[in-house]
Amino acid sequence: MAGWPALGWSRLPTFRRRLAAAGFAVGVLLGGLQLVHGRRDTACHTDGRITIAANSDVSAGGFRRDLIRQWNEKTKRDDKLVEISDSTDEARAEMAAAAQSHRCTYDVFLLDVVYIPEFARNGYLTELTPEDFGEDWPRFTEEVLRAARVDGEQYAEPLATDAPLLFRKAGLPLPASWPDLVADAGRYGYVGQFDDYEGGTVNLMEAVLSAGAEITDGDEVVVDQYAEKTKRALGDLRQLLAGLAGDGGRPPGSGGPGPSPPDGGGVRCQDRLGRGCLFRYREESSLLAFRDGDVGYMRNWPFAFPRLALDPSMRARDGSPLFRVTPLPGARITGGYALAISATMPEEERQDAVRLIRFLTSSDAQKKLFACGGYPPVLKDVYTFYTSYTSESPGSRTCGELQRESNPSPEPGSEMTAPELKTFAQAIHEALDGAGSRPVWPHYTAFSDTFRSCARRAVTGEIEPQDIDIARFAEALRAARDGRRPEAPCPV
Amino acid sequence: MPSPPPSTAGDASGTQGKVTPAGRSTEAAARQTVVTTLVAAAANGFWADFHSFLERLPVPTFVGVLATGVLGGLLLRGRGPAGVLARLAGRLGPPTSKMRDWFLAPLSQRPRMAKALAALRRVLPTVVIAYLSVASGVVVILGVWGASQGVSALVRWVSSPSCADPRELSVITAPENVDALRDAAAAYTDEADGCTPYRISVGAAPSAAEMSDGFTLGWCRDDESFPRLFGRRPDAWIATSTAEVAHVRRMQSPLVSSGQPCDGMAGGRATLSPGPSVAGEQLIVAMLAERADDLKNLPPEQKGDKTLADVVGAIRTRLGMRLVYPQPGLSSAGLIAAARLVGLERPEDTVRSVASDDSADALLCRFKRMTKAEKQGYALLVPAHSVQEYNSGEITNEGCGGMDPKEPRLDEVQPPGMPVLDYPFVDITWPDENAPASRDESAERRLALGRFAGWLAHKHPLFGGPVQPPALRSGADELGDAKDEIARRLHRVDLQFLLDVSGSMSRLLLPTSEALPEIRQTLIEADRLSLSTFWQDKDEGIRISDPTDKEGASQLGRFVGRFRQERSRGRDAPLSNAIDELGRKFGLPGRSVVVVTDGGPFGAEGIPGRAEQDIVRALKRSSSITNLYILVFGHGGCGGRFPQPERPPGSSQHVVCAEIEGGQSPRTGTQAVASALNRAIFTLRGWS
Repeated sequence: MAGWPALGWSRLPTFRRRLAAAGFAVGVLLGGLQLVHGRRDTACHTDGRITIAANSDVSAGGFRRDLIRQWNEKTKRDDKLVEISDSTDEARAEMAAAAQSHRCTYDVFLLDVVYIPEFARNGYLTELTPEDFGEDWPRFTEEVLRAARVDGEQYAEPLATDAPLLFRKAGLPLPASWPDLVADAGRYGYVGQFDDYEGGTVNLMEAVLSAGAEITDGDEVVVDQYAEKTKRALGDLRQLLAGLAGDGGRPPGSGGPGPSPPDGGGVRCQDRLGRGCLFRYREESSLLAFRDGDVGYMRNWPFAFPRLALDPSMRARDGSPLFRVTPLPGARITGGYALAISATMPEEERQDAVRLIRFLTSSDAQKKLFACGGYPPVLKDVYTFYTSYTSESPGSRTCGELQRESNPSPEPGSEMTAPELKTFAQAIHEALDGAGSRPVWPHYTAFSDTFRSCARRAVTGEIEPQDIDIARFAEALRAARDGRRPEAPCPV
Repeated sequence: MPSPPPSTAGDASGTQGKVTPAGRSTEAAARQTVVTTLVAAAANGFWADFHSFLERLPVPTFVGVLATGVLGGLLLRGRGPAGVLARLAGRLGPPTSKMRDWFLAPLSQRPRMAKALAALRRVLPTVVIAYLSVASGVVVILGVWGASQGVSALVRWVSSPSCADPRELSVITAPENVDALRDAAAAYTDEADGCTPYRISVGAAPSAAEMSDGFTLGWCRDDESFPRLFGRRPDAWIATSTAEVAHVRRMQSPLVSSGQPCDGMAGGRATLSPGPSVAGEQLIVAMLAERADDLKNLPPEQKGDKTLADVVGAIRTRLGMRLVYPQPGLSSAGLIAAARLVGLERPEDTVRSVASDDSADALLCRFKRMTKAEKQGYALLVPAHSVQEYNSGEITNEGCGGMDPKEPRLDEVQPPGMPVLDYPFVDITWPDENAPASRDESAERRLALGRFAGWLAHKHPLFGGPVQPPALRSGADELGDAKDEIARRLHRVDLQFLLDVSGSMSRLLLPTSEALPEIRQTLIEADRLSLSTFWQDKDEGIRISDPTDKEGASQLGRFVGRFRQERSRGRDAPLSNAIDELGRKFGLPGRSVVVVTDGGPFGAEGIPGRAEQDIVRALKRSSSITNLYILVFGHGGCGGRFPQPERPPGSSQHVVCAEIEGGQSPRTGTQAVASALNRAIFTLRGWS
């Protein structure tokens, strides 16, 4: 090709050598700039506002929203709380999809604590540094703080916690242990959450752990070391639930209080396999069954307390409550929500996010969330404040007192009273004591699905608990823990 | 290159076989035209292809251009295999040069152009050296970075046996298809060996109107309360029919959306790209087996010639049954059913056919709760698979219960001409997916969705095999037209909300106000809405606010905004007093009053046990209130009062009390209240 330059370095004239060297330097510079620019593209550009992604407000009064409003008024900012869905699973999926695709939509995630390891290990979150948050941490109860810690680093600051409570109708015995509960529940009726969802996993895990078995130990699956105890736990639970009426009510012919329920009362409440509909109960449906049905005991989360306490049908003529609440006997697994900062959040907004998170987890905000919205607090001093209540105690405790300007004279029965809040706080605080958390694994969701797919079938009677090959079950759980597709964990 | 003489004007009719100056001039002009056209076409095509190629590269365009240049250089100058172009050019050199000269001849004829070409030839080596050196610098730095990334990824892979996080995909479909799609998605992800590449979440699609809002507003609605998504933002939608996709697309407009876009969310309007059909079935008529036998046994003269109109007519007139389908405003199956029938029936038939249920499953669930005698009076127009699920007891949504073995099953009747449901897989692209940081992930996501769609279409159709979509009239919106026609046929209703704002309602005002936007699809344009509140003040006694100005359905947003300003105050006031007072404030008769309360006002009546009689007396005294619908939160809230719609003796007025089950629950509150409000509006419309 005539006219093309000779590219051999030694044959190039001096001008062209200099030109080539300069061009190379420019190329290196351009490439470097592109790398820097590319990284800035994957971070996000600030719009001066913080967007918090959350599931729908679980408090009936929308008090979480009120707190954001107060924050904006106080700081003259325009930060937003975006509610994704009623379903925690859907909210998680939306947040994970946004993080995976670097959408820059959300700056702060309000996450169910069980998903924090997944988000942290996949790099969707930034660590919370002791410089920013360290002075807050001693104020938190250790159990809830630990739930937001991954590989020794704190990735989120707890906003609300959850610990399982046992609700029982007034006049029924208080079971001291899990076996006592199983015995009493068999006589008076029992509802929990046994549908095919994360709440079902927690109920099943608690039953297995209460029987003295272990499912995991640190990063290891050890359920195969407790094969007999595991089978027995699932068998006992199956026997309990199978003996109840279809809606979880007292079994026909049982010796509980009041007239005995009629035979066949459960037939109206069956699913397609002829099982009682108590196997489809979630938090809400189990609460309604407890309230409206002939059900003596209910395992549920703290949100149920204000619902029952403020329900006129759960009060006697003299105003005294027709139910009692205590920590769930046996093993308890905690839940809750925590605030984490997105890895794509612009650095210039980080300090604002730190301030917002500290505002939402302040004592004042926690008291309002607790008294008005029924959110279980995460701070030690808030528990002390409520549990130490006497009629002479100073300070604002009830929702009306805390928000005096917006609700000057609440109607009786429209909000929890200070003694009720004391009972509530005591029950949660005791329930948190000694409670455990779910495995801190990035693929926990797959692990949970696998565990439930087998254990639930044993409890509903689709398979015999004794037929479960625990070694195979454990292998399937190990595969799920690593995010691999597990072989069928149960006999088909 | 010979330089042709300058062209001169002259006789254009040269002798054939002999080239004259004038002939050369014409030839040069023709050649110039041909050359220009060919060069432009080639350059245009090449640039389009090259640009498209550059966009697909995983690097910025300028890096792609440089890298292409370097590669070209290697091919031209390299040795061995890399020098293939050079060798080829060497062989083709002489003829290529001739061709080049021939093409460039017209340009070289012009002195200025010739000079420019010569100058270009002189500076070309310098330009090439500069270009290649810059490109080399970029390639070296990016190569070092790429290598470091590769080593880092290798170390991560070796040190952790754990799989990478599966890619999150979200698909929505009509509520009655959710279970089947969930099963299919699970089966698809289970086919992967080892690490699971995808996690597909399946959600219920909202109504067509809400979807069009969502697709217009970035799947996020920002009203006066707080921004919220319509659920998880979907990556794909399995529509019930191609006509539904066309309908939603036509409604996709910021001008008709009922909400405000959320600032900074999702980036705006989505693009819908219909793909393959992933299932195929028909809408069918379902009824108890004995009624289906009655239909079969009708004498031929009563059956007609078995067209759809005849069969529908026979069901209604000969068998005296009510043919119903889910609410067209909320259910895609209901809308498709209505669109088919609306032209075949009388307006009064349409009014009786539209049910308040928001999905085929909800309609079947309600049907399941009916007594056998009631069931015999109903024929349901629903998708075939929903009937199969009903018969096998698989409709077990929370609150629907199970299936008693003694429960009678439904028979399918398939008249000719029933609508075909072709279930297209619609890919959804959001504007923010094109952001530089999201582009790669979005491409992967699209690829994954395409594979899933293909798997559904070819290996695992949801119900029946995929079908060709029915032909649509170009530009027509049959579903939209049907919706408009139904709205014309329904009776208008003048709704007066009477809201209990006593202190005990403080927790319930929020779910009520949040549920109000959900009634939009149940309203027709002629409906009117107004609001009053009542409570008891410690000093001033019973208080009732003046009714707000009447708002039309299109001003629902303003009405909701007004509703949201209400705060609880004071104590319970007797409902009978509120009705008396409200009746006095109205002028003309014809109002339908919807009371929303927690039941406290029943206890505030003079003698609580006689609340029912007091309320009926107050209603009879009020000439302006035609109907009274009391909605009470909580199980047992009505206390057994007005369990069935009834008319006070000697009166044309109606009254009923309905309970909002689960309405106190923050988790299901909005849906429960919305369903109750929709049922109330339907009932009142029927009475109007």
